Amino acid sequence: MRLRILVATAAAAIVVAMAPSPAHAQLDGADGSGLITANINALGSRAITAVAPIPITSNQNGSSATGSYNIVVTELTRNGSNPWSVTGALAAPLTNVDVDTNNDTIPNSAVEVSNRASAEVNGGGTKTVPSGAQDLTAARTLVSYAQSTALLYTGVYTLTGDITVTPPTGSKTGVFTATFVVDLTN
Amino acid sequence: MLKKSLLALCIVPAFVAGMLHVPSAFAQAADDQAGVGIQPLDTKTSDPNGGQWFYKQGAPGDVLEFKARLVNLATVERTVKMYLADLNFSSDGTPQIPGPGKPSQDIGTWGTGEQSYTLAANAKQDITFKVVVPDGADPGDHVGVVVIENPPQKTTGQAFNIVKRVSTRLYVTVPGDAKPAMKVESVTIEPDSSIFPREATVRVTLRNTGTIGLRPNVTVNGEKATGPDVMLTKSIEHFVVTKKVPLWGGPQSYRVDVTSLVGVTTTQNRIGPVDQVRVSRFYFPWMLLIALTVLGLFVFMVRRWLRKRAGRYAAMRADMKRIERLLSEQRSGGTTPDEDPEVAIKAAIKRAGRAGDKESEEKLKEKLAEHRAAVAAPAPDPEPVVATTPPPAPEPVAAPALPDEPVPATAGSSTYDWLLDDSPPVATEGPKDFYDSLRDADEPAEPSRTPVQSAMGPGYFVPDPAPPAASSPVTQDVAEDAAPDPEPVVARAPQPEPVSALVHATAVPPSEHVDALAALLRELKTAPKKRQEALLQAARSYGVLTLRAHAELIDELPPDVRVKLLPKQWAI
Repeated sequence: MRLRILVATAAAAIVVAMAPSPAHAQLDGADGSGLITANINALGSRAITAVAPIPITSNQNGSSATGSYNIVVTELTRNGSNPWSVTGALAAPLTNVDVDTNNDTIPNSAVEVSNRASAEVNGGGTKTVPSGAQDLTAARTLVSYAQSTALLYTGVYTLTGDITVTPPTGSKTGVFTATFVVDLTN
Repeated sequence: MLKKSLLALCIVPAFVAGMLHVPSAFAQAADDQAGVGIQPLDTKTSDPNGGQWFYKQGAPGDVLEFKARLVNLATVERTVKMYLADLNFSSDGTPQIPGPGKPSQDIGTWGTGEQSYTLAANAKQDITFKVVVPDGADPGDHVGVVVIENPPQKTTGQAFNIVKRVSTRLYVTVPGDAKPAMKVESVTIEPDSSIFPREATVRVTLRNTGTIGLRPNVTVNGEKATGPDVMLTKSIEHFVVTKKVPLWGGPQSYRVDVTSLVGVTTTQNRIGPVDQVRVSRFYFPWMLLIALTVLGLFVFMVRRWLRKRAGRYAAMRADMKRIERLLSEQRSGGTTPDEDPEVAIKAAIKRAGRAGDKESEEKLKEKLAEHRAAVAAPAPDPEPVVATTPPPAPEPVAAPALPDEPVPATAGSSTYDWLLDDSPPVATEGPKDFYDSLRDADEPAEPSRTPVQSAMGPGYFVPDPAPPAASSPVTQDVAEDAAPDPEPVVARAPQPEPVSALVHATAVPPSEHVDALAALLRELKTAPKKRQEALLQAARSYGVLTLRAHAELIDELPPDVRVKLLPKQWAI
């Protein structure tokens, strides 16, 4: 029994000893006090971690169909960028996939982004959110942050807004699809 | 035994190892939608944007090698595309990365084309890519991006397929004669409220119109605006500052000063272009209007209060007049006053107290006290006590005066003369004048008097002195007898003799009256100036003889008071 306890204790001690210690931390001092030196490098990242599907639904007798976007940007111990921004754009016009026709599209000018907002958890920087509605004939800024490049940031930024499609007169009914490009530019 | 030991050797460390395992935030944050990010590796903090961009200098023909780290934040394997693209800016400053079908024209074409990388779940990978500066590259800054494009995220039944791209700026400076230039594109002022603004956000938009990056410094009315440290070629950047809006509103001027240094690295300190713009905005002065309204309301209230107060004073004056009228009526005895003067004075005192008119209140209190004293005081001595002079001096008296002598209403009517503010001043030329001065204006003047020699000394004979006509049948008799007789009457007339004796007898005031006069004189000795006049008049109402009976007390009065009490004709 005693031997078993001894073996188990020794094995546990070996595992603990093998466990990684905090990176680049040093302990110094002979009188019980210690000097800890940590070399923190900017090895983190900032990326788009989630873009929820954007369902577009039209109201009965309505002239337009609206959907909402929800984009999550995650920072992991990343140096601030001044600025970094998220833009949204349509790679190509909305195209009707139900019928075999080359010209059955809804132009980008009929698609608008509006009600743009951003909420951050931790993270930081000076936020700029454009107001009003803009069509998607070009990439549109969804949010922009100006951060200090000398600081590290770890935060989660949730961007929300609406995308409204207003089919022009003469559009055919059917299912239209397009590619929505979300650009995070550091 | 050995088996059990081996089992312990395996199980216990496994538990410990499991307890030590802490899942990283990296893994927790990732899910299947997470994309891949990119970060430069071989930059310095002195490089543009603190080394957060890819940056190198290269002459035409140079091959520049960049190192980057790709990070897969997803919990699944990701295959991503990497390519270079130009970075343009729209009129509102939004960075634009050319999409498919819109090929780059500048630095986006200097790469080695599209490359593909596959990263394991939550893995990172360091890569290298090359940029070849073309021979014909213009001097100055060339700005593009390194794009990591994730595969399209297709969702069945949804209108949009989603493509996630993460880009990091790529910045190459070609040495040469670059032209620094910039301009203030626009200045917008956005108050925090259209009704009652307290702050206004001033947004300055700058455009780099040159071919080299700048480090701008933007101030609005001397206050530094926040914005990017570096302004890349062709870029449009926004600078923001919040200014307080003064409470008084009105036109507010904002002066925007822009200075710059040429180059995007801190090692370059050449002064760049400058610009200055002035804008103004009018803020409706709601606060000023509210303040003016409040002030106007305050003035209105004060005026109303003053008017009310003036009204109260007017009421006080009316009260005083009414009181005087009441007292006058009481004094004249002709008609019974509508109300008790004392009650009226008390009510007036109350009103004066409510109005805060201390002076009137004090005056009324004095009047009340004097009124009470007057009521309590005895009927004044019939002045013509001189008539008690013994008949031995048969000097003729101006008899014709008798028929004209009006009968005094009451013996004490003159007691209330002091209550009349506008009562005529007391004449001091002679006793007759003095008496006349005590009369009302509508009363006929006292007839002339005849000097007589009485037992008490020289005096005047006055046929109708103080005793009330109604209560003094003797006097009435005298009047009746005298009336039909126009001839002069001597002092020794049969009727006056007993009258004189009687008058003399009644002229001696009762002890309580004497005490009241004595009290008045004692009070007069130490009374303040304000009170003196009332006391003097009250004392005079007792008549000279009664006063003479208090010679000791009169002697104790201050000389000036004594003179006022007894004119020289009355001097004791």
